[in-house]
Amino acid sequence: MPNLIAKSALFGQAPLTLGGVTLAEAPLGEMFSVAGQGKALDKALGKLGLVMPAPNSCAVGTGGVIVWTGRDQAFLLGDGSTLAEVAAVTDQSDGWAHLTLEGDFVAVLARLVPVDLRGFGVGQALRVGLGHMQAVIFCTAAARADLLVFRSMARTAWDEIAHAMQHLAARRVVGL
Amino acid sequence: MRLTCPLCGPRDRREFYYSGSADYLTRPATDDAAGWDNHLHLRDNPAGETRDLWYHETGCAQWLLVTRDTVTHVISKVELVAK
Amino acid sequence: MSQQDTGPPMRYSGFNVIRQGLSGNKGWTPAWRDPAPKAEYDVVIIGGGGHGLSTAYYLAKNHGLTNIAVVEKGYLGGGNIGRNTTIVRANYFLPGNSEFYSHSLKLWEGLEADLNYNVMHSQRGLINLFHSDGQRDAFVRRGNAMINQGDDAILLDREGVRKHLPYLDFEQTRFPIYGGLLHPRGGSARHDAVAWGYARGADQRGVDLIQNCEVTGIDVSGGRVTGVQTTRGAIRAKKVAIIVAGRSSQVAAMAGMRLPIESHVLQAFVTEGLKPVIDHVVSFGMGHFYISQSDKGGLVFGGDLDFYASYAARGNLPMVEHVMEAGMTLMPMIGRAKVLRSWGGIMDMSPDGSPIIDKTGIEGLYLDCGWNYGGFKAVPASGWCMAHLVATDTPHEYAARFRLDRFRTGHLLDEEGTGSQHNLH
Ligand SMILES: Cc1cc2nc3c(=O)[nH]c(=O)nc-3n(C[C@H](O)[C@H](O)[C@H](O)COP(=O)(O)OP(=O)(O)OC[C@H]3O[C@@H](n4cnc5c(N)ncnc54)[C@H](O)[C@@H]3O)c2cc1C
Ligand SMILES: [Zn+2]
Repeated sequence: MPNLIAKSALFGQAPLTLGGVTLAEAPLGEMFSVAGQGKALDKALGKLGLVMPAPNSCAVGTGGVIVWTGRDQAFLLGDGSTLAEVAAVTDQSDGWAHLTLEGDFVAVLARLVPVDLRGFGVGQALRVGLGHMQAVIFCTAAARADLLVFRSMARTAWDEIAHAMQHLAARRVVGL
Repeated sequence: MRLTCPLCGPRDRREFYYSGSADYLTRPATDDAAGWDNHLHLRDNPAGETRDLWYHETGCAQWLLVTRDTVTHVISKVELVAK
Repeated sequence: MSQQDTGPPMRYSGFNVIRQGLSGNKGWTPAWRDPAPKAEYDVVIIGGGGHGLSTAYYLAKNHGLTNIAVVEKGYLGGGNIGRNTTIVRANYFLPGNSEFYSHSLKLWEGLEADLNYNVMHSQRGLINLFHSDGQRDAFVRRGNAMINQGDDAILLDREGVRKHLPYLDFEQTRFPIYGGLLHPRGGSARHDAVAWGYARGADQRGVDLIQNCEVTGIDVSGGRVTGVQTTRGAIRAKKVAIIVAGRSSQVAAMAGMRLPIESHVLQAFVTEGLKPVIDHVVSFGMGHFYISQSDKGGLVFGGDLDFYASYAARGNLPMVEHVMEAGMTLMPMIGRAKVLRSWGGIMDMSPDGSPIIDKTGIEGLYLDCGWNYGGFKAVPASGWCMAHLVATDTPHEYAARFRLDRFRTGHLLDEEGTGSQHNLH
């Protein structure tokens, strides 16, 4: 097997800054879906400095970031292979695109997401629609949102977010 | 219309897929044509309180049992089918 | 007021318009009487919508039955017959549907002369657009089925579509326009005029149209229907026909029946009046959106059901958004038009998307329902076939497959191939 070159979903896409908000593609990392419950899983997660997150929450540990994605299900942004014995684990690294929005992301996402994000802050996570797409949005640092969308939807997600940023920036120019 | 998902919280109607009457949850009492007809096709179709199945498609991907009013669109209860 | 008070029924004609115009328009008589219910009729029709009124008309005209009452809880034309987007077409595919809608279109073509009433039937042509090779194949097949049925269908390529509909967005690449299936005899009509025309025709033949009269019970004795209870008293009847569209489940329940029907809300929209710009009826193949322009100039358009069971004659915003998005994708020029009104109607959705015209398990009780969102074009043929069934106790050959028990026996008529679920048709 030759060594393949890993390419992110938006490979080569430069960050976009408009109206004080920066949209960027996050580097391609490892991502595992972890589904399960029970003591053995808790113990294995503990070694990564993590617990199974409560609904709508996320946390950072020594072994990566864990994000709630459903009933008894979470995404581990990190190496999940050590959990394979104690949970249903699938490597989904190449199935998703990871974007970040830094700055006043609330105003941008308000145009795309049917949830009120005012007050959305560190430690919170959502599974929610982004335009017509399914998305996971989580927050691990102030004034920054991380977004996960299906890899096949990456370009659409980028376009729609960039559009919303343009609209907001344009309104600012005319003083709205 | 907004539904309060027991996991995700209050969400807009567009995040959900409607599947149909809660009749789909009860397997037919008899395994003959009449039983299946009853299960798949015949409906009370009430004008008033009803129970039906919704899927939180762009949310947590859970099936939900929703109690609501078909005349006023008031949602009175949302439960996880899986519980 | 009875027929005798007003003299013979008035004929509408150009001559009469001029004569009345010259005499201050004082001589017009009401288009129908407003009788009180009698104690007994040969046939009571529950529901004064399009289908109830056309059934009454053809019972009188084709079968000579005139001791009939149409019992309507509101006013004539206040239900779906006055809420639809008026598309009339015969482009069905499955045996069972094809011959029925083909017959209906033929009746439409002679309707104004037959009723002596201007229903503004306009055969402006219907174009269903397609946007992929697979869709083209499906439309070729549908077109062939239409031609085999004796109706008309013309396959247009992209340039052919451009000639008819130059205003579409031919540049957009997401849903490229590959072509369209043109059904030249398809078109539209004025919805409430159809109700009024049939009402007047039935009234002139002696049918009692009883408004503000809600049926609250169906009397059954020894397995036979004997009459109905109403808010204006009991009415005895030898035969009773349930023709109440979105309210079918409630009325059938009065006779102890549970129907294969779920009621759903469908929305529609109309813009301010514009100069003539859209000459045809056009439908988008990549999102549910269809549009035509009314004779008053308003753009009349709609899309999908709201998808959840509902009896509220209003919908929700996500479907509004979807319809507007689809419209803007297809013809960005309409973006400047202001939407004046939107409304909803309650659709009697059947599990396979096809209707029911059948007897019930109760002798003398008949059922006409399951029109989904396509029952306007069916008004003439439904009345024709339902009248035949009620008068002769045998199904009309064009409606022979619209059986109530077809779901149990597995003889579904799933025109769209979307499966046995009420909201998917
Ligand atoms: C937005 C919209 C768009 C549509 N577009 C199209 C289209 O483009 N082409 C097409 O072919 N079809 C279309 N349809 C479908 C079509 O309008 C219906 O299928 C058809 O009108 C239904 O039959 P009807 O006319 O008899 O119904 P209705 O007019 O609803 O008649 C039923 C009547 O029964 C009465 N009733 C109910 N309960 C009782 C009771 N207990 N006692 C007495 N009376 C009672 C009601 O008051 C009502 O007047 C559309 C529908 C809607 C809502
Ligand atoms: Zn949810």
